[in-house]
Amino acid sequence: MTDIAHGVGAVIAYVALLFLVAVWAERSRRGSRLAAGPVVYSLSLAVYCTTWTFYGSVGFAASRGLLFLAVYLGPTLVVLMGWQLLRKLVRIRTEHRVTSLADLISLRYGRSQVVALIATGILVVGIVPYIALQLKTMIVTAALVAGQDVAQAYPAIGARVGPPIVLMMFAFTVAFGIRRSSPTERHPGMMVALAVECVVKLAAFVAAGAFVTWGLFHGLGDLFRRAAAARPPVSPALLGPQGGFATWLTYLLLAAPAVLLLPRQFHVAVVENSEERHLRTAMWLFPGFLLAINVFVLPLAIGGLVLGYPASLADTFVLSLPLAAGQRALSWLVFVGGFSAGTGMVMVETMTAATMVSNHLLLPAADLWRPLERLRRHLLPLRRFAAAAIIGVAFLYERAFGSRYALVSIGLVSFAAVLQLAPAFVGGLYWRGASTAGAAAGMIAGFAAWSYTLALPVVVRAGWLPSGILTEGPMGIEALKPEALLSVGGLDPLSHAVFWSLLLNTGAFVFGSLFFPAAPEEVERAGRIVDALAPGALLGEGSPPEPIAAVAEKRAAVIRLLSEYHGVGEAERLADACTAKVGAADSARLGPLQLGQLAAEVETALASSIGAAAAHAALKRSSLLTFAETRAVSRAYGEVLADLKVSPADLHHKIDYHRERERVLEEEAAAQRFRAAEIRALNAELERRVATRTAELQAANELKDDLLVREQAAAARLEEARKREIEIGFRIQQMLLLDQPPRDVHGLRVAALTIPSQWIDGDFYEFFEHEDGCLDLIVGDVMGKGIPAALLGAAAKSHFLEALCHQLAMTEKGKLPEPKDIVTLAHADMVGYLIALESFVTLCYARLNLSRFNLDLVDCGHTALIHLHARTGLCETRQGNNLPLGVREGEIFDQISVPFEPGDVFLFYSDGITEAPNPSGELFGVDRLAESVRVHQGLEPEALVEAVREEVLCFSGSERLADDLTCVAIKVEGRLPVAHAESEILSHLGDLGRAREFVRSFCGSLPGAPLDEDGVAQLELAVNEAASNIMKHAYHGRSDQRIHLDAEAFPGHVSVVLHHFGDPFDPSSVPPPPLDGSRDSGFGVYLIAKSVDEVRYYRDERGRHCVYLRKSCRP
Amino acid sequence: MQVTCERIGDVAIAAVPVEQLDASNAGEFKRDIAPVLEANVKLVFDLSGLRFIDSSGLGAFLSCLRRLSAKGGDLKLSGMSKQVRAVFELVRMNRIVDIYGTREEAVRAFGQ
Repeated sequence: MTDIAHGVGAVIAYVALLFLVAVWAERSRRGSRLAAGPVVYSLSLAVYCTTWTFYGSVGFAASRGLLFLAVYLGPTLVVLMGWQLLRKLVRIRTEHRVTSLADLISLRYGRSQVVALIATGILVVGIVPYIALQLKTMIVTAALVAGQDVAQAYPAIGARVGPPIVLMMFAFTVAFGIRRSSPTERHPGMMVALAVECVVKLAAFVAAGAFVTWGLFHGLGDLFRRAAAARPPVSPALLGPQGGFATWLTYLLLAAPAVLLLPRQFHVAVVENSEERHLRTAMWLFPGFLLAINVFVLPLAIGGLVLGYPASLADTFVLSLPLAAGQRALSWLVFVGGFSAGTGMVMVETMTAATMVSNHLLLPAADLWRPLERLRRHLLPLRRFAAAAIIGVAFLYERAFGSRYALVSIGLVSFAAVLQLAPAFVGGLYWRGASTAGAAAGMIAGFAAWSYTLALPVVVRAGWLPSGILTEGPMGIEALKPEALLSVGGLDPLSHAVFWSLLLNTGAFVFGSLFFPAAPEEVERAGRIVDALAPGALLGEGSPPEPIAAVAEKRAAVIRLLSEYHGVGEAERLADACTAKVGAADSARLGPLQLGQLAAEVETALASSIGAAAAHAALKRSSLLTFAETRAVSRAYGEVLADLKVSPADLHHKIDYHRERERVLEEEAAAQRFRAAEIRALNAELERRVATRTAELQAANELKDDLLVREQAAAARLEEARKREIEIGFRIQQMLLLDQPPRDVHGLRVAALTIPSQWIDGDFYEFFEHEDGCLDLIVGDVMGKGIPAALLGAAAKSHFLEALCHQLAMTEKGKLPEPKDIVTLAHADMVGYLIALESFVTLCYARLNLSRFNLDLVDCGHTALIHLHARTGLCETRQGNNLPLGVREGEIFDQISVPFEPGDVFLFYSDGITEAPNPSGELFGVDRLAESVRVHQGLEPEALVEAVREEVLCFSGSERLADDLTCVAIKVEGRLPVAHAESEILSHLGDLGRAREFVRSFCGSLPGAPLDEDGVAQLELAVNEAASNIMKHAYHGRSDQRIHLDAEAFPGHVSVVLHHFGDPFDPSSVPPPPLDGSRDSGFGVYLIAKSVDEVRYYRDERGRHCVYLRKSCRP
Repeated sequence: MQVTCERIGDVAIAAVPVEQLDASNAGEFKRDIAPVLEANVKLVFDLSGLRFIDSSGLGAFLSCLRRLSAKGGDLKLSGMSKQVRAVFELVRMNRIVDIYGTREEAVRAFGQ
């Protein structure tokens, strides 16, 4: 009994561990990175191996020999040879946000709900026996490991052990798969738990196999020898080829599509795939897994038979052999392995089936029948209900039919059912002509044939219908015998069913498509699916003729590289910016020049956060460019240089101005040294003369002293000049470059800090206060050091002041010129001499607008802005895409908009901070700086910059820094909402009323009714229009997505933010409609703008698209 | 939705049968009002039951107006609540279509 207690304890601990792993994968950054990685992805594919593999293969092998291999050969072939198909599916999923197999098929056939419903029906009916099989196995093995005699009392044990197992499976499914609603339908936690389960089941199976081979026998040789000697002999029947060609073909035909068409397989392989390139890992890891788990199948089967166990019990050999040998610990391990196989399958299968049932059965039903409308608001409970129903039905199936069939035959019935989707699925992916009518007809015909030839016999054998149907045909009609239709004989029942169902299915599909062809627009849409892998149409003129790399692949590589230094969201944003800059955002492939430019852009993006050198090294280390690509890129560059008639040396010379200056300085110093040597030589000459000409001794001595003094004076003057240069530079910097931070900007607290270095940098900053709650801040850094850099910095500052004054004069009163325009103008004034002096300036121009709670940022290659969100307590780095000033004439600058909230902190700084090295050469880096801001977030700006200074000095271990250290901290004064409420609606037009109701009740709940009746009505209208636009334009009419509403009330205004995950949609970018009655749509955006005081679009830190609406209270 | 229609002389009066006319039911309204537009030239809408209208609802009325104008007819609106009227005025629809306080006033306006 204690043994059982220990075993149960171990199982419970294991389940708890799985849950912790899942939570870890969802919450922690490392966990989610692991979940999105190739290994977890490949391992999760092995959910293919269920208890059927774990226990059933041995049973199968004991009766049919090597035929069991066909079930694993099929998937191996698909994964090895069909990876193009997989890539296509992943591409389609990413592009169209496919959530399940039924969703994909309906997408291909004109988003037909009927097709989706048929596919869902077939899949759900098909997997019920399969889930039943898992339940049966778990019941049997639980009873076995607990020491019960299963052979005698199976049905009774099932009734006792079954319900708790069913409840447990349901709990598992809900806990891992349907815990919260996720708009991408991806479940990192579930995937990692699944990967762990797959490793455990493999380990347990191999352990059992090894025990039987080397524990009960003396190795494989001994095992086969004893098998040959056994009476009756067992091995020839097992090792010889079993079943004819038709049987092997049938099994291959069943198993190969199953690896994609079983709902759980489609889910893990396609829906959960985070990157296309993971397929490469899966290509060897998954077949490797299948091979590893099959190695010991035959030894286990033969071993059991040799030891005298009947073949009818072979389904449980894996567990019963160690049990009989008294290996309790191993038995429990095997049980846990089988349990892993079963739970993994049940949770993924049920979860995805529940998703399909809710999306394609219950939600459309809610659309058709009003009383069901309320269901839409309870998506999560709905899915849980569907999951409970599916597992419940599977248990009933197990109770009714489970005891009569071996594991394998139950599983194959399921395989045959999902095979009915294959013609519509494969045909849809590759045949433009496949039409909705054909797909529907094929699936229905195939499913009907399956029901008649496979499902009906099961029901008959259970005694529910007269057995005459099987032996003599229904109503005595011989030709209609379910297992020998039209008297086709000589096939086993399974091959017979597969033959007939596939024949009818494919026939109906092809003829249906030919006789009821698709409408033209459906054909066009179908083309987008069929040609999902074709290169984008935009690649043509203007691009180099030989593209050498796929954009998607490179983008993924860039994200991978950047995400080592940034958050994933930020990395994606940067990667998109880089690809957009090389003009590849809309194309599918990159030419060599674009590729080189991309690498350069990425290096630039990285350089601003980790410093140029580290960025260069990181890029070299990363596998962004393969060897062949590097060669192609340098060849292309060589050609460009040849065209320009510039030698690479010249180019290098031009680029590396800084090194050039160092060289000039060194040459000067060398010249001085040379002169000193000359003097010394002269001196020696004099001494020689002194020796010979004693008469002139006195005079010579005087001359010698004089020369010595002059030598020392020359050296001292050089030193003096250097000191003076530093001093002048320092004074320029203090007087001209650094501004006093303003003390009394309403709603902001500002603090600045500079520590000059031994060499003056050209760091500068400047503040401009405007009247209406706006503060402009410029932080810049001139390349180079010393007086030239300081003077350039001062000049740059004056150009900015001039540009600002000029633009202010040109802008109508009450408005401010845009920062990007100011930068563009100032740059135009100074670019000429910057280029002539071969210098450049990195800079960021920021405008904090306190009435709109928005920061406009023009970032010209400067260090990343650190933004601390008071609400989350987390830091985010922000960067623009502009080149530094002085790089290119006629440059136009872009600005980005950064919304902020009360309590947020911004930190601007020079690269002197992030590139401060410690004694071992490691750089301080932007991550450390951001972390420092995060840790000190409670401090006021003055104390914060001081804390940063201390940390940098402490890190570098020196009081003297090589670079200036400049840092400006700005804190937005805290103002917290007086009330807050959230709600979520579906992207279904019927839910607009709920959005309005939410706004009305939120405003109604506010004390003192800050918005009057008209104000509430206007805000309601704006939210209604914004939500309706999101449904139409961001989700393109999909009604199963979600929109999150966030309402907050402040003294003075009420705001509502609508968050969504659809395509970006910026209401403020839509032009106003004509109001002359010539159009009857498109007023939405205009109505929003007229109804509220501010509309803003942005992406938040979670990557959601946000539409922010603010309604001010009337005084 | 069921649009009830009564007649006074050659003027048809249709009551808008919902409280809220938004993107979810504007299409349905357009469809169900079509026979009324077919059968009549002078039409008055009674909006006194309507509490909320959005841009799709406005669009539906504009399309009614255009279909009537196309065959030489006219549309007049009546019985709007303050909030509904505010939305019409926001897009200046009050300049394109005549709005009256009550359906009787609207019918009388057709007579003049």
